[in-house]
Amino acid sequence: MRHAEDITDLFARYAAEVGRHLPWRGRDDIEREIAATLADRLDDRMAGSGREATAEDAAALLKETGHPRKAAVSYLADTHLVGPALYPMFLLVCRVALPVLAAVLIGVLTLSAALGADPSTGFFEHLVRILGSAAGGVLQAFALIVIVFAVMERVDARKASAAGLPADGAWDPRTLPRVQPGSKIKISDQVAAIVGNTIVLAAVVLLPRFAVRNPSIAGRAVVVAILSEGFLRLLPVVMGVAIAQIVAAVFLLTRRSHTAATIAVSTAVKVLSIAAAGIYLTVYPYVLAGPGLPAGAELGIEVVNKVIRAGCVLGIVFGSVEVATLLVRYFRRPVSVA
Amino acid sequence: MSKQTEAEELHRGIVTELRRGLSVVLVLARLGREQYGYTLLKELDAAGLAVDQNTLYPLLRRLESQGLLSSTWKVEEQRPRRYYARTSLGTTVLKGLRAELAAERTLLEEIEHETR
Repeated sequence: MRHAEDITDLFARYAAEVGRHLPWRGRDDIEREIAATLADRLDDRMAGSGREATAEDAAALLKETGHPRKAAVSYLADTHLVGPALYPMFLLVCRVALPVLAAVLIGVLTLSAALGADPSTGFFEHLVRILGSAAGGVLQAFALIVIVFAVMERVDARKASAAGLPADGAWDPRTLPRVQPGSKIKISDQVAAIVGNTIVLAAVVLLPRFAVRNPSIAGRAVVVAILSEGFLRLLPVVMGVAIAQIVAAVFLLTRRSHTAATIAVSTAVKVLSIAAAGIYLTVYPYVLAGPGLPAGAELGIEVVNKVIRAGCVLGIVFGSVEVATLLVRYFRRPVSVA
Repeated sequence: MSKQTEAEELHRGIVTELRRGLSVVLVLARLGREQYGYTLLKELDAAGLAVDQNTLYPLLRRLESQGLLSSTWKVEEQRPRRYYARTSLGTTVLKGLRAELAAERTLLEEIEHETR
C-alpha cells in the first residue's frame, strides 16, 4: 500500500512539474493525462514480472520518459511569441522603425547636450551618455513592438497578418513592381548610413563645445578648441550633408527596390557628398587643430587629419563610381516581365 | 562533426519531419473508434510507428484544438482516462489526406523508377 502511495505521489509531482512550464489554459487536463498514462505504463511493465511495483520502478520509468521540462517543451512546439504569420510584418516594422528611432534619439539628445550641457564635461563622456540613452530607447521600443505583436498573435494572428491585403482573387500580379538586376535596396547600407551620419553629426555638434584641458600651459588649466578654425567654417556644409544622407537613408528604407525617385535621391545625395569632400580637400584639409594641445598630441592629430583626407579621396573615387552606376541604372530600360 | 555524423543527424531530422505528418494520418485513421491515449500509443507501436508519450499527447491536443478530434474524461479501474474520437471534420480531412498520400505514393514510385 505504501508503494502505491509513493508511486502516485511521484507521478503527480512529475505531472505538476510538467504543468508548471505550460500555459494556464488546459494545464490541469494535461497533468491528469500524464499521471494516468504513467500509471498505465507502469502497470503494463509490471504485469509480466509477478511482483508489486516500487518507487524505484516508477523513478526508472520517469527517467525513461524524460525530464519534465523536456516533456513540457513538446507541448509548446507550436507556441510562438510572434508566429510565422506575423513575423514578416514584425521584421519590417523593426527594420524601419528602430534605425529611424535611433537616429532621431541620437539627434535630439545631441542637440540637447550641445545646447544645455556643461562644456567642462568630457566630450567622450557626453558621447557615451548619448549613445547609452539612445540604445536604451531603442531597446524599449523593441520591447514595445514585441508586446504589440505578441498580443496580435494571441488575438487572431491570421486575421492580423492579412490586414491590408486584398482578397486572394482580387490582386493582379501584373501590378507587382518591376525588378532590375542589382536594383534591390540593401537595408544594412541604409541602417549603416543613418547610424554613421548621426554619429558624425553628434561629433561635429558636440566637439566645438567640448574642448581639451591642457594643464601644461603656464602651469594652469587652459581650455583649447579641438576643431580647427578652418573646419569650423565648413561645419554647416558637413552638417548639411550628414542630415541629407540621413533623410535619404530613411526614405530608401521605406522602399524595397530602386525606382526613378530613389535613384534621383541617391544620386543627389552622393553628388552633394562628393562636392563637400572636394571643398574640404581644396579649401582647408585639417579637421583637428594641433597648437595648444597636450605634448605629443600633434603627431596623433596629424595622423587623424591624414586619415580623414585619405577617406575623402576614397569617398570621391567610390562615390563617383556609385553615381555613374546609379545613372546607368536610371537610363537603362526596365526588364520586361512579359 | 564528421560527415558521417552530420549525415546521420540530417537523416534523423528529415525522418522526424516525415513521421510528424504521417503520425497525423495514422492517429486520425485509428481514432474512428473512441480510445484513450495509452491504447493508441500501444497500437501505433504495434503497427511499427514507435511514438513516445511526449510526442503523441501534444499531437492529440493539437488535433483536438483544430477540431479534428473530440475528447471526454471517463473513470475506469479508479483511474481517469481521456478518450479521443475523430470528429466529422476529422473524417473529411482524413479522406483528403488519404487521397494526397496515394498521389504521393505514385510520385515516389515514379521517382524510384527513374533513379533506378
